[in-house]
Formats: sequence, structure tokens, C-alpha cells
Amino acid sequence: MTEKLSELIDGELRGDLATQLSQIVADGALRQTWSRYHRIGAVLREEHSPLSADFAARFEARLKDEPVILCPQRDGNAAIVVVKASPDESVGVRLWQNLALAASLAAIALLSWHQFGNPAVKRGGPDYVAQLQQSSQKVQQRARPADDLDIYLFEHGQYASVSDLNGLMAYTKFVSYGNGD
Amino acid sequence: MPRSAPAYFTMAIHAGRIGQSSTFLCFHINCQEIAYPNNTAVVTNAESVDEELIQRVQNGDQNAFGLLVRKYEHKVGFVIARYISDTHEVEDVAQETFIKAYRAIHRFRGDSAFYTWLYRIAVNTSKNYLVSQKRRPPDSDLEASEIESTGIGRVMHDIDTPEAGALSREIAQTVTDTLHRLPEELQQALELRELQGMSYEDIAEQMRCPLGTVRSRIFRAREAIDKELRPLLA
Repeated sequence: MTEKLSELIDGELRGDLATQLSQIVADGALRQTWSRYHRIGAVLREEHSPLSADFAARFEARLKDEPVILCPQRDGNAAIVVVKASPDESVGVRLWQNLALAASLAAIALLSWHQFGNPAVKRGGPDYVAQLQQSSQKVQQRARPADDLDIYLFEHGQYASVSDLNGLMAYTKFVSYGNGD
Repeated sequence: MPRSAPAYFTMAIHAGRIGQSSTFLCFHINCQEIAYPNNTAVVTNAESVDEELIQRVQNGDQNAFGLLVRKYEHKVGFVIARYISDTHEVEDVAQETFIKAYRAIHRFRGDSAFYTWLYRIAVNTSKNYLVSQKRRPPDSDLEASEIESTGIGRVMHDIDTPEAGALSREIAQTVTDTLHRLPEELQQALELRELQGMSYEDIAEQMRCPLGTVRSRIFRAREAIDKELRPLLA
């Protein structure tokens, strides 16, 4: 097998490349031989690398922590590249998800407090009624509607039920026209 | 990506995501049609070995990437050492280079040779490292082919840290001593292959011997050197 390995390193292998490579990939001793044969070439070419002799072994140990690539992208074909998330990445993703959730809850709580929880104006109390009258007067001062229907809606608007939402919806009325109106 | 085989078919079938896990069903079927004209086995080439290994990595085989690391660690270390003189820093940058290459290998499309691609990653990682250390990277780069042809890296770096240097020198001494003790035809065959990069066919022509003899001589030379090298690297 080492003779085949020698040929393979030189790109001169006769026969099935895939089978030979499978054997080398799977066999620890052959991987070591592959490594040493390449080292011999590097020494002869005077490629003086300062990397330690066990660099590849240490790198392979580190590689085990990396995500595994499951699908290839080949020859321009549409292909999905998927990496299996490593434990570290999963923790990172979960952390961001939790942070996003916490931020959303905080935003909802803040809005709710402004909407419903303001203790300065109790709903139905004297302050609340005074505030409604005040805002109604402001609206009346701003504009007088032109046609009869608008006048009707305007005059009766203050008696309409007030939504819990104190925003725009409180001033939105739904009307329908009958025949001839 | 050129293949040595006359035809190459790839079919990929992918299914979608299942639930919230990152599980995918993925089938990748490669049908390689190998022809053997005149009963002569197809001879692979250096590029197809890399292609096959890359394809395996892209299919999730990390050990295949380990083989690429073992193949190119010397060249990569050699290139990085042009930029960074400290041995430990070279190790760190080399690790970073290979990790970057591994993470990006699904984007490698084979437009250039794998080593050319890896070389650019090594150069960029080295430069980025120098910048991060507030050191100035060199103004100009040499291309991968220029480094190999001029051997300029040899004079630009000195690896004489005590521990790394001692083992490197011992390995180098063992290789050259063993080579020089070999019969001349074995020595010449290996040198023509490793130093001149000649094909077996060209070596056979130059040495006026059959192709099979060249194969055998190169293997025997390697085996003899490897036998001496093994105890040093155990």
C-alpha cells in the first residue's frame, strides 16, 4: 500500500484514486506515512517551515471542534452548504435568542405601563373626566366640521365609548350611509 | 475543475430542514466514469488528488482535510515565516490559516489550484496578524509560484529557536544523509521528482529506464528515508 501512497503523492497513481484515498484517510498509520513522505519532499526542496513536528496532529485535534460540512457545492450545481452547529455556536445562538426575547418583553412592559399603568390618571376618576373634557374642548377649538353628518359625529363623539387604547383608535368612528344619505 | 477521467457526473438531492434542529437530509452521488483505453489504467494527477480530498471535506470528512493540512503544512509554514519571525506566532497564524480554509472550503470552486487559494489565505492571515499587532506588513507580496521558483523564503527566515530548530535540523540532516547513502539511481529518481517536479514518464526518459522502474526507485528511496525518519517523528 505504501508504494501506492508514493505514487499517489506524486499524482502518478494507477487505478482508483477514491479507493486508495479512502484507505489512507481511514488508516492512522498511512496518514503518518503520507505526512512523512511530504516532509521528505519539503526537506529536499529546502522548504524550511518553523512549524513543529506535531503541528498537523494538534491541528486535527482542534479541527474536531469545528462544524462538520455536510453538503458540498460542486461544479456550479445548486447545492446547499450546511454546517452542523458546534456546541459553542448553539450556546451563542441561544444567548441571542434569549436577549431578543428579554428585550421584547421589556418593550411590551414599558408600553403597557404607559398605556394602562399610569397612576396619575385613574380611569373613571375626576382627573380622568377633567382630562377628557379638556381634550374635547381642544378638538372643538381646532376646527368646525362643514357638513351635517360631520357635525353630528363631532357633537356625539364625546359620548361614544372610549377604547382602552388611548391612541388614534379612540378618535376613529365607523359609520355607514343609508339610501339617499 | 478539470478531471482526469473522461466524464464526470454529479447529482445532488437535498431535502429541507426538519423541525428546529439543523438536520438536513442530503444525498450527493458522484458517478465517475473511468475509461481504460488500450487496457492501460488511468493515471491520476496531483490536482485530482486535491480535488478528491476537497470533495470529501465538502461531504463532511474532516480526516480528508487533515490530509490536506499534512500535505501543505510545510509550504504554509514556509510562506507565513516570510512575514512573521517568531516561531510560536507562525504556529498560531498557520492554525488560523487552515481553520479559515476549512471554514471557507465549501466556497472553493476549483478556479485555481488549491495551494494557490490556500497561499492567499496564508498571506492575508499573516498580514492581518501583523496589523493586529501594530506591526507593518511588507509592501509587496510574492506569488506562490514565485516563492517556489526563486526559493526566496529560504533566505528571508531563520528558524533558529532552540527547540524547533534542533528537531528541524535533525530531520533535515537525516533526510539528506540517508539520501546520499542510497544507490545513485534511487537518489537521482527521487531528486528529479522532488526537486525538478518531473513526471514519472519524463524521469523514465531521462534515466533511460521503464516507467515501472521509476515508480519502484522513487518508492524505495522514500521508504529508506522514511525508515530513518520514523523514530524522530514518533
